[in-house]
Amino acid sequence: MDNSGAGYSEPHRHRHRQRFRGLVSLLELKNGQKGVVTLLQGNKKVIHRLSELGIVPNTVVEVINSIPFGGPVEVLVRGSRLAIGRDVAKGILLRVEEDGK
Amino acid sequence: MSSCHVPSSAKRDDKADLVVALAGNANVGKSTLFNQLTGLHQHVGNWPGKTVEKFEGSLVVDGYKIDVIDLPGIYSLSTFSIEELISREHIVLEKPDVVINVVDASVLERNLFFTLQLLELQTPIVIALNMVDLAEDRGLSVDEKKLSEILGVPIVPTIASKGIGVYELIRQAINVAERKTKLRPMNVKYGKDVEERIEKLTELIKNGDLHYPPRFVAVKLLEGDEDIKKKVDKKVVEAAEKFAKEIEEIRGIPVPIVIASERYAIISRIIKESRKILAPSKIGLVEKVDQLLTHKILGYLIMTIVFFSSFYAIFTFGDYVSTILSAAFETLKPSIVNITGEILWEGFFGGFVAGVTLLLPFVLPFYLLLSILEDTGYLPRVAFLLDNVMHKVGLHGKAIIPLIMGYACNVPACYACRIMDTQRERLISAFAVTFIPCAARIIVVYGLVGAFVGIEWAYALLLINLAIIMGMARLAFKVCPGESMGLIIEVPPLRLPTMRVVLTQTWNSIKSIMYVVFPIYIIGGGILAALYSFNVLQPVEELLTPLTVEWLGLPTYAGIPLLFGVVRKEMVIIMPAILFGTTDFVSMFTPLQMLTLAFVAMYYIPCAATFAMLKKEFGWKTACYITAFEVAFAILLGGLFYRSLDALF
Ligand SMILES: Nc1nc2c(ncn2[C@@H]2O[C@H](COP(=O)(O)OP(=O)(O)OP(=O)(O)O)[C@@H](O)[C@H]2O)c(=O)[nH]1
Ligand SMILES: [Mg+2]
Repeated sequence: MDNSGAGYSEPHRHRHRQRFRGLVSLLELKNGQKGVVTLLQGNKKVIHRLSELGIVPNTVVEVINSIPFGGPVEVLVRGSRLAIGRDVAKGILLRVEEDGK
Repeated sequence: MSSCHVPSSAKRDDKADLVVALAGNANVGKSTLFNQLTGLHQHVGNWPGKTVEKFEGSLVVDGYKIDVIDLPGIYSLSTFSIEELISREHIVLEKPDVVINVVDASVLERNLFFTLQLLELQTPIVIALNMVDLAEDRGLSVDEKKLSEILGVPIVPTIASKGIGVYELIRQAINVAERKTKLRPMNVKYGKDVEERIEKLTELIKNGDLHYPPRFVAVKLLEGDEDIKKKVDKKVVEAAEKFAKEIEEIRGIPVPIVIASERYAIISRIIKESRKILAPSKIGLVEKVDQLLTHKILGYLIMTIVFFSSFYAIFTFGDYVSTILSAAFETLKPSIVNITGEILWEGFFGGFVAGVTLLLPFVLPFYLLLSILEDTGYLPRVAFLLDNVMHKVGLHGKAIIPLIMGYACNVPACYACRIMDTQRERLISAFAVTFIPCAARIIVVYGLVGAFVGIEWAYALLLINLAIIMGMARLAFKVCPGESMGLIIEVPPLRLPTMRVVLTQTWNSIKSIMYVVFPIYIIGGGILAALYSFNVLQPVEELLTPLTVEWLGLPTYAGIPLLFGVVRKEMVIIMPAILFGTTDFVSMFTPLQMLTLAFVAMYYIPCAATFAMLKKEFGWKTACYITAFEVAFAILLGGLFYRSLDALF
């Protein structure tokens, strides 16, 4: 299994975004855009729950809908549709393939 | 293996020959299947998380008496939620003879994640490959023979909602339970680094006296499962923690994710061999509608229209039917009173009439609309739309589902708060639910305010109520300690409501209400009439006057209805209707009094049944706190409400 770049991190106040150069959070994807899950951040339980629902490193996730002003995003993952709140979504970091843009 | 076909019921008379449990992900059709098997009426609907408690039924087939257990839907055998714990403990501790793993064929990958865990648990299983119709619409074709070969367990394709495949399924289940079908369950193997440590842990656990298979315990310990940790030796837990740390160092991610990743990798391989993707046949229009419903602007517009027109429909329908029925009973009344001429009879009969003319016309459309909303799959979409609004009060989108259910009745709505992920969120949402004006309170609002003060005032009361609910949830959020989780909910497919499902659901709810409520009305009415004729209640009313008359500006005779309203909220107007023999409340209250009484009735206390539910879910103390708070809140605000309107009128 390819684990390069797959990682995990507890949220850290002084940790800056450039630590994860090239990664974007689920919130930054536009509708119809796909990304590959690379890193999961946040509460342990939340991450565990996400992984049970199929959001694990190296999984392709497609954003299909989102609500602006702090609303949730809707994603397609492994054939199922999930609505994910903003707080949870911002901890899902992805690698976006060039042709996905 | 005995081929004895005579079931053992001869020995154990009332006991079942076999116990079959239904387990699987949420919203895959377990309860639908349960209803098909047992002829019972478990709550079904198109959103995840309806069944929150295990439920039993039975059937007799091929000479076997079978107990069927409907379990809550879960995504994993971990123990984050009450539902997961209930399901896991049932499967492990009560050891059903066979577990029917209901699987949604249209979301096979995610469903197999749970199946793998059942295999690890070494439970005898049969797979119901349900929703094959939906899978076909999406162009997914599952080769169940191949899948069955790989997993080593029997698979029966079903369409539970149409009863297709159900008989075959139960026969396969019997065969497995009777060991006529040999299971060759697939071994779930992880990467070498993980496997080595699982084996070492398994060795340590082996002698322990656990109900769970040692390998399953080992995996769960590595994942850090709190419930399992409590069940094993301290030394084992320490070893597990050490191993887990080592794995995390090698992989760079926590063990639960390592395990989940590997399971999904296994599943991907299984899917590759057993599922083909053809061209989807039936998408298009539904998809378009779905996009509109959850559109960032239009979605909100549609939602407002849906909810406003629902209330409009309820009020219009209720008023129309109520008027007709009242008129019909009006013509009956004189003759009946003349025959018996007794106050008591008037009380009994009055209770019955009030129930028929006030309760049914309003409660019926509520349940009908709720069933329709549930069956279409609209509720999770509303949860999506309102997630950020709910965040403002410390909850998240999922809480909207119990809140909407609360408009029909607070009791099942409090129960539905279990879909929230943490105890704190459950409590906050249940507290908010008790402020939702249930059908019974809507009757009060409509019967007093809508009918005699003006319908716009009724809507105004409902809007004020929304603001109060938000404020109260916010308050509870500030006061309650504990943790919160964000929104994660599966969005089920949107579809047209099925007539049969909607009507059955509505009828079942109405039926159970009538059984409970009519006796209360009739007996309550009789008692009330008797007490009044013996002058027992007047002193009580006198006692209440400082509150009712002085502070709230109500007439003296409003005291007793408010007391009866503790049992059921609509008693607040049903009691005066019985006493005065009419639902024309103009003769009893001024418009201002009607508004105040309706306002107070909306908030003043959770009804007896809601209290009982709160106690069951959160304990005596919390239930009493909530009740005391609401009494004080309603009295305080009611008085202010009266005074500020008094200045206006
Ligand atoms: N198209 C289709 N729909 C089905 C089928 N079986 C059940 N349904 C529908 O799927 C929805 C969910 O069914 P339920 O029986 O409530 O699901 P459940 O597994 O008990 O769900 P929870 O109790 O929430 O875990 C309902 O709206 C059913 O009518 C099927 O075979 N095909
Ligand atoms: Mg169910």
